[in-house]
Amino acid sequence: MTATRLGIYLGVPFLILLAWFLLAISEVVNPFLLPSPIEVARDLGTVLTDSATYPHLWTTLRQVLLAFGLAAALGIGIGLPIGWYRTLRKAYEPVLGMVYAVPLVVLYPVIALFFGIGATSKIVFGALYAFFPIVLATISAVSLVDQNLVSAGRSMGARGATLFRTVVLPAARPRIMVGLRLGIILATLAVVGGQYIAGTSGLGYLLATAGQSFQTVLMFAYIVLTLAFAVLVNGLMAALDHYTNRSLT
Amino acid sequence: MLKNENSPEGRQPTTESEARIFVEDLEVAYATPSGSRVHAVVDFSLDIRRGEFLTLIGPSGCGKTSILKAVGGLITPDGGDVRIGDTIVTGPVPDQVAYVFQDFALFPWRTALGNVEVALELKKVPKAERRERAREALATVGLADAADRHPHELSGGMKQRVAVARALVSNCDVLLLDEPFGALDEQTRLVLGTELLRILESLGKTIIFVTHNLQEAVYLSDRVVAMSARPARIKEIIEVDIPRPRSPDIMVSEAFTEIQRHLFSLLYEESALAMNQP
Repeated sequence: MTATRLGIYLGVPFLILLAWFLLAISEVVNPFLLPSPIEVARDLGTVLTDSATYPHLWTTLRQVLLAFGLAAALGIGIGLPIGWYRTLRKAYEPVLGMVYAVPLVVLYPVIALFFGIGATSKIVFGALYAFFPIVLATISAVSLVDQNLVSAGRSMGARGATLFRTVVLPAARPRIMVGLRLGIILATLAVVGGQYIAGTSGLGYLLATAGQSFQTVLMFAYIVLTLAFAVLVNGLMAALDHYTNRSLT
Repeated sequence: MLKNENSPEGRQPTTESEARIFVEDLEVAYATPSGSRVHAVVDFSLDIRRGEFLTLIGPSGCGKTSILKAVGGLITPDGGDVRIGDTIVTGPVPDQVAYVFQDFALFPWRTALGNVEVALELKKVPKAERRERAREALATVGLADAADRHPHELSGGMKQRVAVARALVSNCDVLLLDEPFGALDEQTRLVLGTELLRILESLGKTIIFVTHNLQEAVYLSDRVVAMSARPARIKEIIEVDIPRPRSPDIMVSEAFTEIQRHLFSLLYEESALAMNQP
């Protein structure tokens, strides 16, 4: 990698860190509200060496993956037929689009009431958030499949499930992937948010307790940890993309 | 690797009735977005001889593709029927009919080899055999070296040849070519047309070819069917009695240019008509 490219990749993160550092040490912002990155890094080190941290990370990962899996199964399962049949699409695509626009967080109290404040409510909340981008992306992905490819498949004798597996799904895959990526981001957001609002474990819970007990340095350390978690989740999706793409050829 | 005419994959002898196509009183209509119905094809009847290279030529949007799709079983006619041999076509007939589409319709997620293989995969040919046959078909069209490339890594001409290989690999008696050179530039078109003719002349398949290129039509065909503007009707059927094998030199011969001129005058007025259709 050339120096220029390295500069482009690392320039912005470096500038943000620098701005943060300058703001903190110049004490323009109250250091209690904005601790310096060095202090945060020190606390992050403590958090990472503390074995009590990892069950929280694991809980969050498990809840995100379960929420995402549930949403992906339902979203793709429901999206495929709606995208394929024009009548179904005309009837349901607008409705789903409308519900997607509603701030679903208003449903959290209802979900907490139904499923308690344990893991189940976080998973359901995460799945609810992830479902809509996945189902909407699947619908549009299937409806946009090049009909010439479908004709080609049919002319070679593919029909029904075979046509779907051989032509429609692989042709729709890239657009479905976009929905899945968005879905897992929203699932992460909702799970961490759910833990934050009312939880007993997970990254959201750690953030909430640090914030509510005014341990701002620790809170910032957890924020950085959560960001790293999001990067990991995104990496999982890139792997899924790569794997499903490879399995087609 | 370089076998085509001597290949065991070459033409298998078939009974007289198996590869002859009868189109009778074909009628195809489409619903427009505004809800009215437009007739693409009306009262179209034509017999295609076994082993014949027949071209449908006519103005854009005149219904040539609809006829081809009806023969391939990709659309259900609104009237009349198509028979291949003794069987009335009610859906795709992948054992007898192979298709080459205008924009090639290659699967972008598959390699060139994978795109050829899929035709055999859908016929449940065992993996080793289909790989072997697909490689052979690619070699026939001169693409043995491009087997592992994806469509986006291939030129237009190469994609077209992959599409031809895909149509040849399943060893069907009938080939339907829907403007197979439509998306190519003039030079590539000429070279590929010559190349295609060389391959097809050795295989003896029954071919229906759709184009609006006069030169191509005359060069490739045994008969050229000149069509009217929509709805598609037969204006005239022209026999091209130029002996085979044909080489590109014949394109400047008296007989060739005479037929081409005749076709041009037939099509000119129809094209003018078609231009004013919505």
